[in-house]
Amino acid sequence: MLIILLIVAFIIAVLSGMGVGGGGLFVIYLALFTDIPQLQIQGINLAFFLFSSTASLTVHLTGRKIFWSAVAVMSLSGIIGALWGSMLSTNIDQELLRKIFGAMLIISGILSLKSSLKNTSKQKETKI
Amino acid sequence: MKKMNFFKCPAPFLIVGGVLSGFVNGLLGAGGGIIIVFVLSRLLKSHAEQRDIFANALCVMLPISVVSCIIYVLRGQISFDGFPPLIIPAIAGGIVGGLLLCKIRTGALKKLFAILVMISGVILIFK
Repeated sequence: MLIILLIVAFIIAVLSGMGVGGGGLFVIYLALFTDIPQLQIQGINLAFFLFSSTASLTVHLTGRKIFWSAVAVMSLSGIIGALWGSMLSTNIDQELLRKIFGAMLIISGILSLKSSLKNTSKQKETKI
Repeated sequence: MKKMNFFKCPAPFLIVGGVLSGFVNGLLGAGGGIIIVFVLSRLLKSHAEQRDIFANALCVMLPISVVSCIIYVLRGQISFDGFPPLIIPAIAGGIVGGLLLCKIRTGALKKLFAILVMISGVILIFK
């Protein structure tokens, strides 16, 4: 069982390093295939993401342009939002939290699909 | 009411986008990344390619996720007992994924997973 979990974790880290599937894949897996409570899953996912995206960044960063002022503004605002959101999450009923998570996945999937389709049609235009 | 020009005055969009993204990340332990990518794509449209935007988004997500994680721990409601074995696949996968991003066209994969994610969302709502 552990082996399966490790393999799944590896695949999810690969996908997220490629920008595929958003950051919620591990939550989906754990929520569907284990009995771990929602908040605990979210905590594991956050920690997992920290390791996987730091690793991705070290590979990614060479040759990339980082716009530090934009990054700084968004991170600082994001930290404020995160304080707010995480205080809230530890006060909410876990079942409700899971449903909200589900709703977020649907919205995120739709936005992702839309932007993917837009990119594909742009590529087709430039070919013509 | 005068429409705000995003490029002349991006700060409000960056701030609102940042707060929203952080809120989602804190509440749900995931997500929020798509908001950041959205805002950054608008802002950096002509100055950066997809991969740059993705790298910038990761830079934003890291401190946000650190804060979310810390709060979760401080609230005492999660334990990292089973976690250490996951560190190696996380790092290894992250490296492989980062390398593959430059080598593979992710268009079809992204669409596939967007659909899978939507289906999972529906399942989670009704589970």
